[in-house]
Amino acid sequence: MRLHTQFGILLSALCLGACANIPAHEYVPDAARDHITSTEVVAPVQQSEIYVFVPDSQAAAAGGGGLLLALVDAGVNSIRTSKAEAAVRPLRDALLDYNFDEMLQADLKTSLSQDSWLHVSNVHVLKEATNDSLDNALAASNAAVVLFTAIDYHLSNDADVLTITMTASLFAKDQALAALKKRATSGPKTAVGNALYHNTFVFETAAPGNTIDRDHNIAALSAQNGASMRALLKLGEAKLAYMLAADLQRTAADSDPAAFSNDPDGSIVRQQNGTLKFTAKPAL
Amino acid sequence: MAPQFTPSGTPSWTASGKGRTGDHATGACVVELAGVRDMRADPESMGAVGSQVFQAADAAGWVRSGFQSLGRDPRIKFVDKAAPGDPALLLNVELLKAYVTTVTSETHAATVVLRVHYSRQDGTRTDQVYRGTDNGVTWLSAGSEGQSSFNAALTEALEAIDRDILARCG
Repeated sequence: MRLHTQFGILLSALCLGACANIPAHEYVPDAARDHITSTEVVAPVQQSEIYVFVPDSQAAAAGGGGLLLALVDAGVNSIRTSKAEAAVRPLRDALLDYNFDEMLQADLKTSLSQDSWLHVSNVHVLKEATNDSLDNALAASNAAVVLFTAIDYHLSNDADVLTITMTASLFAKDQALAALKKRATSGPKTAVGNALYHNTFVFETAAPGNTIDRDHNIAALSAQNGASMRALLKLGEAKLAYMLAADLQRTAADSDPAAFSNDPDGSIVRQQNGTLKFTAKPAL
Repeated sequence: MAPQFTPSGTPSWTASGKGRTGDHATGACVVELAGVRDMRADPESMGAVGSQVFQAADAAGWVRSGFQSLGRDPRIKFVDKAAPGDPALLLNVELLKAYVTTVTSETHAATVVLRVHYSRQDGTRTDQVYRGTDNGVTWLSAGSEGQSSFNAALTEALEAIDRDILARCG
């Protein structure tokens, strides 16, 4: 999965300099579950609306660099940006009253309550997702652990695929829990290497009747007050929250539940690196 | 982010006539700006360009200063409080979205979305949503370019609002 610039910046706040030798997925330590007395869930969602992915121009990279090609790249990026922002406008207007952040909060609260050992005390969204803001949120929490669930949602450049990505990481405030970390603290306090648990979850679905015509796809998603896009976003948020709650229960010795392979809405696959991906069944 | 709005370029409402606040044509549209409310869950957050985070202590105040700049249109006269029986147009404004975001590694986009509730003392009411956007290349300083982008996005929205105010007065 290519990391879009926006989500790449968000992920860097959780990773920065400490990701080189950290596996993509680390289970909750077995001993931790019996000692977590409270969990605060913080969901960094830096974006305010859905966006269309815009690939960077590669003229300079392909042509060996230089100022002229860099200017070509800037020009191409500018044109691509203008077109993409204009194209997604009808969909943003159709979704104006769809509160992604509130829906996410509710889904996380519902799903994570299934993990009673978490004792979830509070779920809230954070709009600023920098190293400092995440470290401050961790420092300010009175809970025994803080679970960060950073989210990004966007359409592909042709607007034919919706991707929602959640990166989850659990950090200990309680000293006894902190002792269960796999490695010494390094870098920002919320760097993923300092987490008790972390994983990445991806929800991916084709837009209904998807074509390679971006304007056509966006028109279809925007129709009837954005009905199909609202349904896909709701499904995505619910599935991601479900996968997270299920994954928090797992240990390295467990196999994945049958529900992962028998999901009525699509398929959940655990990748080689331990991350989870849900691919929705195509809409009829 | 600076709380005072600065119009981008030469907006239509300053080019429509003398363009000086207080210098109004006879029969100018009387408008009362009743209120500007920031409806966002996090009123300080304004997004980010790269690692440059934008915050506003008073985004509603910035929007209010934008509306006040419409007073430069000689066809519009802002009053503090409409007199009873006055055919003034009453505006209540809601700030729904205001953010800047990175699009590619070299470009950014700013967006402002407002909902304006128009009403008159005779009870007539209409609502309209306005979206202003600005895209730009991040050349040097994300900070100053972000501010310019916000002002340009709000300018676009205000141009449409200016036209609609005059249409409702006409």
